[in-house]
Amino acid sequence: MDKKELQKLKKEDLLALAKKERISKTTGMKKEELISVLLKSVKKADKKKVSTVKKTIAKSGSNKAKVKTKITAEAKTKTKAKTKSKISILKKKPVVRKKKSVDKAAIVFEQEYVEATKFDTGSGKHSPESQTQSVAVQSQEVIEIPQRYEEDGFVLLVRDPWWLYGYWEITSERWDYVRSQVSDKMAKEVLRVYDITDIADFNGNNANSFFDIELAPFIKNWYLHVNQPGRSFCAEIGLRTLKGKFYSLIRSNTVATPRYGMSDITDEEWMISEEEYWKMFGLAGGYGIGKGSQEIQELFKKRFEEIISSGFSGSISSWMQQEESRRGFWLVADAELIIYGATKPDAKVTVRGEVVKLNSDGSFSLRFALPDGSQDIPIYATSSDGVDKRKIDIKVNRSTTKEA
Amino acid sequence: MQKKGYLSIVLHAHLPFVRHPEYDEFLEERWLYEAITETYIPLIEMFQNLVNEGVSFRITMSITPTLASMLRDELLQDRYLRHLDKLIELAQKEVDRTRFMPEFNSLAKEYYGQFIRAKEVFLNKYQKNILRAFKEFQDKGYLEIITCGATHGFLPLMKNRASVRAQVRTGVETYREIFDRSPQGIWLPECGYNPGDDLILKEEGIRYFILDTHGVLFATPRPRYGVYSGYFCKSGVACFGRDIESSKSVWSAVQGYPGDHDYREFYRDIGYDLDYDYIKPYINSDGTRCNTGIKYYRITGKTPHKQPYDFNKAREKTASHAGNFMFNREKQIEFLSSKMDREPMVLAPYDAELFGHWWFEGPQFLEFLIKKIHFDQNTVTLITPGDYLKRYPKNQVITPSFSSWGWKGYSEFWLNGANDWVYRHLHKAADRMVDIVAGNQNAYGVMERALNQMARELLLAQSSDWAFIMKTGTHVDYAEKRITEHLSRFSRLWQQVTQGHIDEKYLEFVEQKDNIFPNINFRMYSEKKEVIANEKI
Repeated sequence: MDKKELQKLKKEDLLALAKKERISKTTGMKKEELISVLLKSVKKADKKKVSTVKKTIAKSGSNKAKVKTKITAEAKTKTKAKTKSKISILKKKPVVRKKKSVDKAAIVFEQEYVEATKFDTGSGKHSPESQTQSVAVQSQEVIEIPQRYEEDGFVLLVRDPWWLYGYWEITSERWDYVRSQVSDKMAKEVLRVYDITDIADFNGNNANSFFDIELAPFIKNWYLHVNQPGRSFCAEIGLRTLKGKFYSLIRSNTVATPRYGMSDITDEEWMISEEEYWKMFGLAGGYGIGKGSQEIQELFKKRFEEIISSGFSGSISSWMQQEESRRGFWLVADAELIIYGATKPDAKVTVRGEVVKLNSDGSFSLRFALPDGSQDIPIYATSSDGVDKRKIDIKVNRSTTKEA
Repeated sequence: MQKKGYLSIVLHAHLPFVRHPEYDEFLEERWLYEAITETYIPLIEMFQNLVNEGVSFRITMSITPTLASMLRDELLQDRYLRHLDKLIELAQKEVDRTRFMPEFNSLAKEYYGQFIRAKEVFLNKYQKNILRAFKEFQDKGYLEIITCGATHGFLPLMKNRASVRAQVRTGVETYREIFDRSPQGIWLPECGYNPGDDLILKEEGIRYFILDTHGVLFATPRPRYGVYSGYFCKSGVACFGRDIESSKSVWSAVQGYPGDHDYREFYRDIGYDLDYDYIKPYINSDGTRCNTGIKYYRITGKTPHKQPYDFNKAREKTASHAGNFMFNREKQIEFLSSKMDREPMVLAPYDAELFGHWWFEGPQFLEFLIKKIHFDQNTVTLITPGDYLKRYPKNQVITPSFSSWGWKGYSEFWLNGANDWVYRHLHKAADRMVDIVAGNQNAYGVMERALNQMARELLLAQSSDWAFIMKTGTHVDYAEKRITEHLSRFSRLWQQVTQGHIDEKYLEFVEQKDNIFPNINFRMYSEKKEVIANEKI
């Protein structure tokens, strides 16, 4: 399904399609907007297909389009916590709240988990619309960022020793120009990744090696699995003919993947024997005393692989596990006690021996959490001149039983 | 007996700039309020206790420019006070409400006392500006405060060098305004380091920075002392690497101390537990429940049936954990010093907010630890990286490895399907900034103001926090809103400057909203001799 095909359809048909694609909030969209949303959704599906075919796996980078305050509709609502205000009588739900506020799947690394609590207000939802705007600073500000910049550009970033990320934009002028040079109409759009380690003046033809990734239409970013720490790379988007000739549309910046592992280069002034070097990590690295340097080196390597490939552990999530009945049903209830009364506003009142502050009309109200058992609540009032005295004694008994 | 080595505790205090004068109350401003009550003030109280008891100590803290800007902002100071007053009111009600339940009543009283003390510290002692406290401890020689990137922008994912320089320079200048001196060191946001960035640090007068373990261990040539000493980059700026063991025992919620069953449960808050009508005045103003900071339960174990928290029991645990931590450092340092021809330094960096906010007992832990180090042993001395450099001014020269302290050790937490779309826009804005600055060096008046505001918007958009939040999944709407807002304001001003016509009313509006870095100078984006990015290592 491409743009032209979509444009042929009527708006009603587009709406139906959108519904099929599970795109929400389509009401009020113009035809063009609908088409772009649809294309995006199709693109995502396409990407998944492509990635299984290719050796190079890519994560679908989302192409956030024009953002108008609420950042479009797509796929934004799934992780939202439910609003919790529809609570009726008592809601002492004895449930550890973790799950609702933080996406556990996203946080497999303990440090990020802990860091994230900085931003945890407990309320997963943010709704400024319902907060009161102060009159002082109101504005009809339009918030938007463009989908494209109408400029040619291709940027590579380093994700880690094995992966790069690239995003690009190719203007239609550039595209048409290069297209016109290529006679082969079956030429494919490819992303070509060059290893240019130690090559000072890369000219397009003198790379150490390269590999191609075929691009599905409309893709504007990609994760590149170069799989080689400590090397330099650059990339091009271009058209590759059936005969294998490559026409470059645009070239990226050059980046280097970080080295992975200890360097073998040592410097003379700071020499230390291999044996002694690894011993240093023995106890200090938590590997214990009395292990040989070889053994420590292995443990050390393993430790780093654990940290870097998967985070410390997935155990954080199991620590958060909570028991919930399999059908997800639950009931909680508790009781509180309100003691209230009134006397002459200038009188002195004590409840269970503690002085109570009276309202200006002489009334008072106290609220207590009420545990099981019996409570004796004597209330004394004394007139301001100390002559008149009154006492009311309230006894309360609570007992709670539960049935599963 | 001669001491054998050093422990350097680094507390990284950071929150993104969140300030919404356009609303009377704003949910995300609570990040700051909670951190003040639960972390910053308890840390100040702890430092003060130590000073009062004659304990000598050296701790390193980074206070980021965004956090510092909020702490000295009058609107936020007043709002915090209002927030704290409500918290005190709630704690008072809780003291009454729990009278029949002694196990909760003593806790309620404890919270009430804590909040009253917080008010005393915040209002009476430091006149609403707690930066004064930290400055005081630094001036008296207890703290070494270092700076950070202006808005905590993740430097390895910036495309042009001018962006890195602007982050660093603004960090250094804000620091000077607040602490009346130049920073010795910098906390690179997320410890994100890209070889070559140290040249910019050098230009801005920074002496050292902190790296994650592999940043140092995977350096070229091989570092002689592992992560247990400082090193110099070719630029002459020093770097230090994090120790894994001491990190883990505090960071890890599973194997570390904070997961102990006697410690307070972070996720059980009366904001969720109590009757709606009762708690309503103290939760989010739109009526949705949120944390209040009053929590009565302990972690208990893998069960939803939490037991009441017991202050005394938790305190005993804290003391024993502090003892355990110190014992392990003693062993570690004794061992290292037998293998090294200099005194080893174990570097233990943490998020400051981990102490108190996430790990309720954290400040108490630090207090016990520092006292034990002072009174009970003869192996370990507390030190700051800056002091270690004075003690060992000659160090091996290495090129550290590209690294961060984030998930998997590199850029992935800030570069993945949930947030990668931001870089196209951030990079474009940064390029535009550099270009437009080149042609407007002599701008003045309203034009200069517009260019300065563009610099503010760009910096604010670059906060690593937005990408972080998009990945973690809470408050995602807010993070996306923030980044698009700043980018949108940036482009609108860019358009106006390009066309030579500034909408002054709009400019004023944006200046009032995003009022960070009042003394910013857009000319810091001027291109200098380019430093080679991502130098091959």
